[in-house]
Amino acid sequence: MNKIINLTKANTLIKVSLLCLSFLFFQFDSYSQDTEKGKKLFKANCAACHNVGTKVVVGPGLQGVGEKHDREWLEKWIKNSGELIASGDAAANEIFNEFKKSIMPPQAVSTEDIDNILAYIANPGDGGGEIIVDGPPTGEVVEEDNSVMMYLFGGAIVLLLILIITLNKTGVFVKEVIAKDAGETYEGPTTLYGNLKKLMGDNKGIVAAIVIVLFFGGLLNLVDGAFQIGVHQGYKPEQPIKFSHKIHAGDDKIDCNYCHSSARHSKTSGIPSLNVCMNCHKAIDGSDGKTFMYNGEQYSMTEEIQKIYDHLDYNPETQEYGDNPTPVKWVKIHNLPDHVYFSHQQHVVAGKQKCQTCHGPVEEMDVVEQHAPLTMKWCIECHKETAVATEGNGYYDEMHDRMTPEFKEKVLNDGVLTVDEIGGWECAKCHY
Amino acid sequence: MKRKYLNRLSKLAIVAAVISITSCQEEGGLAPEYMPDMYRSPAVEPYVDYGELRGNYSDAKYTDKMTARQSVEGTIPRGFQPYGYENTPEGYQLAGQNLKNPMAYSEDVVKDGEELYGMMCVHCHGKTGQGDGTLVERGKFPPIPTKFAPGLVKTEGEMFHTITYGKGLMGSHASQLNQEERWKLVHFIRAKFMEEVPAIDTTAAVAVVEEVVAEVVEATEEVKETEAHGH
Repeated sequence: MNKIINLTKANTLIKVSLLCLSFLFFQFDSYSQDTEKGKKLFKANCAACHNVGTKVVVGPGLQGVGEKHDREWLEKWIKNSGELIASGDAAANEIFNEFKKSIMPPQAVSTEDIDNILAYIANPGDGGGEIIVDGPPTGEVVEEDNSVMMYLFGGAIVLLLILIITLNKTGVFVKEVIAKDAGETYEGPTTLYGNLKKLMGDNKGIVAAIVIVLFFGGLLNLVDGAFQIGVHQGYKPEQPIKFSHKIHAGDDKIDCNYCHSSARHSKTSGIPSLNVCMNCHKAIDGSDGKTFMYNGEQYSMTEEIQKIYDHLDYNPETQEYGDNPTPVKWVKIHNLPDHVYFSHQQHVVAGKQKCQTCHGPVEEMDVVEQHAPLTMKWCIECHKETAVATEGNGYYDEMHDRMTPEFKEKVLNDGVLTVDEIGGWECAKCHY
Repeated sequence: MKRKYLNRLSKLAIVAAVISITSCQEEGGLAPEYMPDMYRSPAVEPYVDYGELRGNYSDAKYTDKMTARQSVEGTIPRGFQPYGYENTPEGYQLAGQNLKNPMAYSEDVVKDGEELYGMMCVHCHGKTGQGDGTLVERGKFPPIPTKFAPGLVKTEGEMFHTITYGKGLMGSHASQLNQEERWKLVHFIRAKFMEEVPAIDTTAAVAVVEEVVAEVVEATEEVKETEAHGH
């Protein structure tokens, strides 16, 4: 009996030592694997769903996965996780249930590839995946204080006033002394107001000239100003979330229509709802601590993206949405008067106009501003110059056929059919 | 008398000067508005700040009112077909098996699809469909696992399901693309990248041609008849 126990003990000992040895070898082996190759393979095959850290992307973060599961299990899982789950493996089913019962698609990688990938996960180095940087972003955000200038200006004015009053008093005092010395009494004005009156009375010509210049200058300014009423060209408000069009439309080359998708279907181009933001920002959470420029100031990506999450009541840790979302109060920039009808759909789809025609180089603006004056003159001028996009649009073929020969001759003699020639200047086209 | 008049005039000038200085448009700010009720719509317009309506400039009850509303529950847009597959792995499988592209394949559809691809997909999936979009190339978005290439096993239904609900890191694009547009995209991606051009159903086209030919024949016969009568 003892013998048997001893034998089993010895057996276990051998098994354990063998396991340890194999583990050692495996460890040793894994370091001899090519992490560079593994990195490439990881980027190509795994990075869409996994992070080398602890962050959950679609599937779990893979830090320490080599220790958590044995090599054989991992290979089975990677090559066909569905089969492993179906076989009733406890660990596999646990993961399956934790990640909303979605199966990791079978990966076409060789055993050697898996070794390389695991080596890379075990030792991602500094170039591996996203490294979460704690603490405030580099570059302090310094708020520019305009009020200092205002105070300085006000102070200077007050100082000047005091100076004028003192000078006036001294002047009067000096005059009085001179008069006393001459044995007379000073009878001129003593107050500042009186002195000013005297000065103006003595130089009537100059005063008249100043008044005339001021009057006509003012008139000119007034007329100029009247033309600016309701023309908000250059309106450039800061938005509650510091969304930079320069980064999204310019650098990343995301098409305007991706976010403003209703421009093709409706009167308004549409401010994208936050689910559109989340199509990218579920993955791009700014946790790499990068900063960006907005209106000449530096902002932290993490903080601005966190605002999206806050508005959505979204928890990036658990990737779950709460039930208390709040709307973002974006500031509307382009506003047409109530009595004008304008349809984005008509201009973008039928007219084939680029967004930039009216909105200017938005892809270069971090803060969007009103580029065009949006006055009626501006509309009318564009309608006079712009040719209708008739090519490939059957509607216009039919319209051309219906035109009387005289009218056709009249509008097409210059070879282009402009918008005003097909009713783009009719009052009721926009005002109804 | 004259002096008093001049006095008033100078006071008026000072007031005017003060007003004209203070009413200047701030750099990047709004211009002055005259009669804002002609400008700001009192009717419900999209994205209008209700606080800017007449008399309600500072009333939080109006300024905090949201203009973009969700439609009443159960509202169905015109031409919308309810999508019966659930956003689950089983739904994906079922859609892949049962869902077929209802849109007839044509060159025009592919052209539309190409335009849509350039708007909605290209920044991740790339011009070649190999996941080489600007966002991926710039290292902002993780690499795309799906590479559209001949031999990729993906059914029409699976593709439609993925655009509708999203899959993996890809989000749902149902709010940006209507069902028709999604099917156009499926046609384009399959034709351009996966080289899976469905056989064009020629029977309908043949029927149309036959009809036209019959009409032409009829018309010419009529003309001949009238000519014959005329002579």
